[in-house]
Amino acid sequence: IMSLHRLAFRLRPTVIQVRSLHSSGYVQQQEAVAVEPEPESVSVFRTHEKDPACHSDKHVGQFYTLSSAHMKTFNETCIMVRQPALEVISYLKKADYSQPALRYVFYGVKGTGKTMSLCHTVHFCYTQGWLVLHVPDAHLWVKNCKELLPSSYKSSRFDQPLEATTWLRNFKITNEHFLPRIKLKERYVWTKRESTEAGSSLGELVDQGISRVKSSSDVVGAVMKELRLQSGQPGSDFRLAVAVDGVNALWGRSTIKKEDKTTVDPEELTLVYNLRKLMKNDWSGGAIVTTLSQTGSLYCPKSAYLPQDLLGERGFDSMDPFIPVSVPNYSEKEFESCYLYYMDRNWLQHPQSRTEEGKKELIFLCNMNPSMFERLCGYL
Amino acid sequence: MINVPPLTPHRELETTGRNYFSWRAGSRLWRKNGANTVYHRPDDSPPRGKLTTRPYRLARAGSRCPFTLINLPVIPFQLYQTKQGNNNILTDKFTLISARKVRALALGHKIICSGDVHQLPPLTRLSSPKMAANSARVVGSLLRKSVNFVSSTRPVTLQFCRRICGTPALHRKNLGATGPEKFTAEFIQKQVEEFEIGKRHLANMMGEDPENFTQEDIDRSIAYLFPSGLFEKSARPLMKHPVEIFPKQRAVQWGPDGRPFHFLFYTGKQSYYSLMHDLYGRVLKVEKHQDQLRAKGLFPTEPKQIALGTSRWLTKEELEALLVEPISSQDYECFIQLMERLLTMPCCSLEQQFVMNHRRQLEAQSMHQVVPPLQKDDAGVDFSTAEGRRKTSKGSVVVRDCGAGRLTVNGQDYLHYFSVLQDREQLMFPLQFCGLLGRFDLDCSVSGGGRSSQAGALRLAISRALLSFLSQSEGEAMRQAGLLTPDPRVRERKKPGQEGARRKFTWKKR
Repeated sequence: IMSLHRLAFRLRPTVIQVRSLHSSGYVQQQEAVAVEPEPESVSVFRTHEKDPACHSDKHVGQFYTLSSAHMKTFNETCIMVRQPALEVISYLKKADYSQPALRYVFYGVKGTGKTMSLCHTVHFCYTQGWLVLHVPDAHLWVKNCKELLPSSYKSSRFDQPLEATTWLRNFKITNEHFLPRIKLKERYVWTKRESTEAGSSLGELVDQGISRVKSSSDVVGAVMKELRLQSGQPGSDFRLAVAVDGVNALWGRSTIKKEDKTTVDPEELTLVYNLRKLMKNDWSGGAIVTTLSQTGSLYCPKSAYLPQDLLGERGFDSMDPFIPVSVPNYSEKEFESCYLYYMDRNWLQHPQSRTEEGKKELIFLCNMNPSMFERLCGYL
Repeated sequence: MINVPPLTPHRELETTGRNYFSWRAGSRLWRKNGANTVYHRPDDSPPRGKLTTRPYRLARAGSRCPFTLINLPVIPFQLYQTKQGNNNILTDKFTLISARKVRALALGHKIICSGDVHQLPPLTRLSSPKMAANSARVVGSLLRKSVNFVSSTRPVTLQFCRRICGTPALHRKNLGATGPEKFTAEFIQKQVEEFEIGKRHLANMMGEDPENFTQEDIDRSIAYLFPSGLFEKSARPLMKHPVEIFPKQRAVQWGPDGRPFHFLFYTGKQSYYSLMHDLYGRVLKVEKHQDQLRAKGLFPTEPKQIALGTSRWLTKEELEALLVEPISSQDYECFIQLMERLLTMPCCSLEQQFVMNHRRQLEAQSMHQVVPPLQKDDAGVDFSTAEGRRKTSKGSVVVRDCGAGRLTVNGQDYLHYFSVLQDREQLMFPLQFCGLLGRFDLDCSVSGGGRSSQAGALRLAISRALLSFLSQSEGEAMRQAGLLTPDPRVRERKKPGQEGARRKFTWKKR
């Protein structure tokens, strides 16, 4: 059985393009394990409930399978239902969307499953038919930039064409069916000869950005602006979900350097600037779900995990009224179900690991930390 | 015990302000006479006589003396001689004794390394053992004089010193050419006498009763008078009875007419063959006894076996030491086989004493571990504390019997403190070994060292703390698993002339 490890996508600079209808961010984020649908399975750790909207407290600790229409990897994908994600989903269900957008921040120590909770929430939004604006890792935008162009729009800012094009491609794949429906309200002029008229669809704008690499960052900015303006309008029929992973990158420091070796402030990057505008809750008709992440963050101590530490003063002030959701380590039940899942998938090959003592050893060594547990079982 | 002031090397040299105790005792220490003459006495009076004009090099413990091949641990301070013949050797108003004299003193007291036994022959080699005895006697007399008598004998003793220590003949002769050293009975006896006298002197020096001065007292006093920082215990100064120091040697085996005493002398291995002869005689005796019993009809149906207990046969080395002659391994096997044959016989209990003479008890592997006491805290939860060390880290652990399986290290989660799996595995090992993984709560604190040594220190501490929750046998199992053994490995020092502890500088041909 071929299996993908849960890839440390934060460290991957490029996003894999997957020919799937759903958000390709899932490819990197899922613990892709094979599941042949068992029609009559009475397993404790699995639930048949495929729709995140129907998940409730009694499904906590169980794995649910994403349908292959949504997610095409080697085999099917499973996500564990956990309390923090359920909490946010319940808020999303009950929120009033005529009010300004609510901000949810998942935080926790390293490896507890913040990103997976984000994915679960995004899946919920997708199944509800929202337009998902998903940034897999904001840290990628502030480090290891290969090309930096001075922006055509504003001379003090810098463009990142590569990152912008990759993001646009993913956005296109993710929200395929939304693109023809949304019409632009303004006219955007790219060069002397090229411009996008008001009234043309979002799809065209995105195509423009993908084909014309130089102006892709501005296209991104335009897309974000359009969506922000349109989502709150009474005439719009969609809700906007902004999901950003590693949101502390937007207000942190960056490692990109200008030609004269001075560091670029994240504010001077077009992508970051536009994303920050989105993060402000001056628009309505949607929700902002974010995650803090220390793993990819720059110049942050390893022990920092609270929002205040990671966001910094500026970040905290701009994100200020947000709903923090803490993501803890596995509980007993969750650990149990994960263990059973690995056993079921034959992931634990070592005979000792299948015994009771082996289980106790595993608990001791990983201390209920999901990522640590996964890494441990990876070579068992 | 007299109240001896602490011996510091600088005590008498405070007036001079110079330090002679740099370990690179070399040409730097040799100074010319005249303006740089060093006065060695606290009252700053000029040095008396030839003895003290030249500052003497006192080598560090364990260095090689330049004059003889004796590798003596020389005293790292200056031993003084009384003016008035007090026994109190360590108070003020002393004069300096030369380093050679100190060595001679040591020789007189037989304060030598056990490793030096084989190098005593240089003394005796210039002469027959008689001469050795003479020189030893001289040294002994030197000792007596030096300790108790007036300085009038000093020039004499100096000469004697020189003869012993600095003869050119010593340099020329080849040590390897001589066979194993031979000590005559008189020589050994002389050594014993001098040892006794030296013991009494030592007792007087330390202010204790000469009559009841035991070997432990001697060891203690020597360790006090000649403090040594050497790691190797056998390299430190020791003073033991000559019987323990000189290897046992056989007396002359033949009479004045050349006729050997023992009937088996011409076999070459007379003690061994006589032992085998004796043993076989006993076997025959037992068989004869058995035949007699059978004839009378009193043959015991349940043969009474010799209670061997936890004993083992003598090893080959021990047998050689017993017989004072070398034996080959085939001889040894023959001996063991014959002994075993004796044991198989039903009536062998007749020879119990003989058999037990040739067996040794196995050392009881008892647990020397001090089990930390099990305490109860306010909530009624049992807990115990223990400490452990490894390299330079020190760790202490409080093990509570709560049943949660949580660990805290220095207040942090152990997953964050020990991010490497290997360290966590080290912590897990004692608990896993005893099968108590989920049962205890551990509260650890650790400092010093690196990540691996901190993990090792905590592991030792956890194993020790767990002892109080376990039975004796489980504790023994832990000991055998090596969980309770402190790891003695420390960083080896870097030596001069080399780049590291073992690594030498790159060798360049030119």
